[in-house]
Amino acid sequence: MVEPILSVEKLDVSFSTFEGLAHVLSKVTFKINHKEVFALVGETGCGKTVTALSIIKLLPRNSYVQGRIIFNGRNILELKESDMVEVRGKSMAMILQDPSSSLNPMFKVGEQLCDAITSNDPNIKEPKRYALELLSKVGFKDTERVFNSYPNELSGGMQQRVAISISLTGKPTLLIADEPTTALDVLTQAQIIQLLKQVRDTYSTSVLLITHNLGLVATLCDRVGIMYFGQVVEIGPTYDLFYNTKHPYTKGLLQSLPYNKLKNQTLPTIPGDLPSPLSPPSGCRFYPRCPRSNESCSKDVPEILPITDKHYVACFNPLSGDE
Amino acid sequence: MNKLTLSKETKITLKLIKRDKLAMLSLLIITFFIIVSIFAPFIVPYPSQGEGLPVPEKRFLPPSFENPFGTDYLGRDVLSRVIFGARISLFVGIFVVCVAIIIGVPLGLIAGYFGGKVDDVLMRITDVFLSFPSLLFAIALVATLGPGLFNAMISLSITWWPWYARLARAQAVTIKEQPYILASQVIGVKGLTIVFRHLLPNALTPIIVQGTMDMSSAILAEAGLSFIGLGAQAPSPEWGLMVSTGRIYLLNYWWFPVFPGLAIFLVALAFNLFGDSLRDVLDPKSRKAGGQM
Repeated sequence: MVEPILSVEKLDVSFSTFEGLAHVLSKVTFKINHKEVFALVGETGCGKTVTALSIIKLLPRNSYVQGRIIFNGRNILELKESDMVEVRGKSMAMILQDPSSSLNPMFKVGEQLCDAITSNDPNIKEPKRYALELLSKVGFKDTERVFNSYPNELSGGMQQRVAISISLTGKPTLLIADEPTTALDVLTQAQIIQLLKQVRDTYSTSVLLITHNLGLVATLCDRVGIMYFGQVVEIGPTYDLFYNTKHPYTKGLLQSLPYNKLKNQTLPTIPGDLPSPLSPPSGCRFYPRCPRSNESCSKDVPEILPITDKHYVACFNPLSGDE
Repeated sequence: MNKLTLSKETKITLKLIKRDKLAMLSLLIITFFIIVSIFAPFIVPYPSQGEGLPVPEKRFLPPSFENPFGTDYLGRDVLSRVIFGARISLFVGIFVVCVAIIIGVPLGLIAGYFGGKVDDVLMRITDVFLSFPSLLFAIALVATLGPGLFNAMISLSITWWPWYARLARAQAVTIKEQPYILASQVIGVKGLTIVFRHLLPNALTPIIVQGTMDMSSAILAEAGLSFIGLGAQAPSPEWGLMVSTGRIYLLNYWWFPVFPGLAIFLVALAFNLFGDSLRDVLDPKSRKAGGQM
């Protein structure tokens, strides 16, 4: 089997706060293969962005990280900051949630793009030509005009495409997209998804897509990891995850999608709230809200184990296929 | 280069300034003083007297057509001396503020952006400077360096940069939380590049405002130092020095100390008012409200 591009192994992240130690990630484990789009899905506050930031090693100072993040054969967590600057942008890049604030308002798009190009490779003679080429690759027709625009003169979708073009300057092998479509309307979302697909094909980049939009996952992703409260509870190929759901939380998520419900039916939800990361429940972190929990759930933490060769689940009482 | 948008920005700024009558007035006074000081040798009635040549037979003449501001205790034309003094005062103001900004702002931005130990070390150093009253500290410094205009300017700059370091640090701390800073971190831009390429331009507005307001304090402080004999030395036409030598004649020959004093007052007021309205104008909130001021 081919080595995965990124392999996160038993990643624990906690933050020291005034109220105590907050355990945000607990034994997060997943892999991303070459040219694969992998999605991390979960509700707000479950640790998706923290996972992304620990992969690119930009967590805030008050964080404690344990585990291993192997990227291109090297453990990211052991790299020095000076080496990490070389990794960022060149072999790993990130797209942020809100395109309107991820571009510096003081500079023209072109300047920022050229800055990114020369900071990745100071030897490039004509950064502008490369910049225009990148802009046309992300779907701009009048590249010269975009090049000379300030970020506030572009629409949200255009800004996000510019942000994607900036992240592509170093031809990264891994692109982390942190909710790239959350701030955009539905039509623009579709365009950005198309663009990400295209990027994956032309640059043979692997993509780590962080989202809570299951529709997006279904159209774009090869494999999906479902996160709940700092743990990956289920990993599997997209189709299996949607149609052969194993974890009760995944099922709850899928049921609460509003698409196939009749008008007068109440939308099912998952009862209860996220517990506090300051005092996580013992045992399985989902058991207080889980319809299938029994005694053992409150005592032991379920390991994430394979059910088939590609489908992994962390549950003592997984659903069987026909439920 | 930035023709399209920048001119739009500038247009809005100008429009807002134009609406503000006080700002226009102060801008007018500042430009007047700048023009006058640039062309001083060509427009003053008696250039040589302006630079300090005594004319003993014309001592203490009251304001007249020949000497609109009268003459001083050495018979020199006060108008010429006040106009020559404008050169010194404006230069001092600009020099002191620029040096303070050049030293203070980079240090403050670096402290604010990198945080941690760098922040601690840099900010404790500035705290040492800030713990003395600035004018007193400046007096102590000039006394050590020796009286003189240049030494006065140096010591004023040394006592003023910490204020800019504080201001820039506060800016950096807020701006570094902006997503576009994270966005440049994730593509591997190095720390110092982020500080000067991304933080600096976004932090500049309050620094410009503070600088304009400080221009007046710098002129005042330098006039103060000259007044107590630590700044410019006779026969320099420095305003503070003129007020100081003229003050004993105030009751008999009022024009000698009053006109340089008036000049200090006018310039300080103009810079203060202009800085004030600049703050209103450059504040994006006042723009959103349609610039109602």
